[in-house]
Amino acid sequence: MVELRVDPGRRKRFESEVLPHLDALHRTALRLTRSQADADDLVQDSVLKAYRFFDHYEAGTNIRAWLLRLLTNVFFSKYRRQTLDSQLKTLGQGDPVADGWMGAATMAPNREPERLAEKAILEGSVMRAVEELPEEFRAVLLLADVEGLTYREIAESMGCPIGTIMSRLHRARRAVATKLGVTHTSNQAPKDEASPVVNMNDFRLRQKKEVAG
Amino acid sequence: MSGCDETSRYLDAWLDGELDPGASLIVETHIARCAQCADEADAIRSIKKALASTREGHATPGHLRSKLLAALDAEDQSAVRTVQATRRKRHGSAFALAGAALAGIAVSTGWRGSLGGTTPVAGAAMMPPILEDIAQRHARNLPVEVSGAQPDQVSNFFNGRLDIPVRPVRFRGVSARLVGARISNVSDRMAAALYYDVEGRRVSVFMFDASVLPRAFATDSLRPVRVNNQPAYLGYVHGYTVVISERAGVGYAVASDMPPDATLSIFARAELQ
Repeated sequence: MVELRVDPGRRKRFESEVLPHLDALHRTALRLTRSQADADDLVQDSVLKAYRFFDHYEAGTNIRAWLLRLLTNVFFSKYRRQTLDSQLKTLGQGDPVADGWMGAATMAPNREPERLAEKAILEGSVMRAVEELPEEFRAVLLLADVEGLTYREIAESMGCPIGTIMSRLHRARRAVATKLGVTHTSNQAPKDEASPVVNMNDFRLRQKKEVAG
Repeated sequence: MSGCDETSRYLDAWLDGELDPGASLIVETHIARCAQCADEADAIRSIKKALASTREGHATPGHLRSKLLAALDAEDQSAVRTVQATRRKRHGSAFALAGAALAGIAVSTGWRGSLGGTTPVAGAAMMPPILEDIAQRHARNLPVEVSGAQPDQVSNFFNGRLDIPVRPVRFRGVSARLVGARISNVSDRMAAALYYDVEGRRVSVFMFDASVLPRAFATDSLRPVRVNNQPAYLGYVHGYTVVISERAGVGYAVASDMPPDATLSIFARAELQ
């Protein structure tokens, strides 16, 4: 049934559960929309939606993940500007893939492993690099690395299989690494979004074969 | 070095603690002997660290906080009005619809029709829940394969591709535009996904072989309602509302990101054929 009772305790419960996560919602909205005004609207739409559907939030589960899922859903249904096709084309330019990492020999002269490992990336520069990513990739990276959601939670937020999330995360991080100059990329053509769908069993079996052979 | 490519692909999951112990061991073994992959891991670690540190020091602006509380107040007010309206209308099996726009549309609840039946069906648990499936397909907003400028063109696009006739749904009395359509799936069947803009809101209509419905009713928490004197089912998941109905063997699912009352009112205006 659609609940029509007005329960005075509901508003209180909602505020005490949801408002502590407002900062997480706002910073994610700001980075997704890249506009202060759109971020405000996106947060408001999402919070109202959360309020309407609060009875469906399963108490005891991760409310921050639930809220971020609503926000991501609202963002992609109302605020997205690019189609996935155009995004893939955008990220395709100079997008590093695994094969594009420079060999150890090439890297050796300027490697300085300690500095690379310890290199403190400035917050501002990492966020600028993230904001240049296409929306679908930016969203995955923000949910994973800023908000700390699990792959499953991100997959639910984005309505994609976990394999797609892994693939986007992989590409997004390497694009950021390239922009920040913490790695290099070769001229190798980027992989298609659909191709690196991950299959753990194949991976393990192949590895075992290689070890055995 | 053999295995670098695959290690790189799993490196992220390993660094995120999402890899199972067996696969983790493979990555760790490789990294221990491959400086290149170890460097890659270091670079990704430093990016993760930098991103995690951006969590600190962000504060929601005060004006937004007060705007939100005002919006919640307004929401409470409208809920109170809805309850009052419902109480005045005690004679009906009240499924109160908010807003004057809904006047004249008969929607009621409490009906338990024979549409597909609601008894459990063997194997139902194996299928993805139909409600979730439809909501996610609506949410993903995939690119259209045929534009909706001419409804006939959309019908022709599906001709021969699906087992069911696809005639784009028309909406009466609201400003609705067919944006486009694509081939989709509902449960394990191919389906037509038609995307509409209804008064500025995104609404998806899925058309599919109605034989999948009994399975859906076994697994999903769908609520029987009656719209314009026809049986339908209402469900909501992840903030999306889906209304499902059947006409002549064709299943229709109308999905939107609006609350149930608004979605039902749009459904009530859809001409299913």
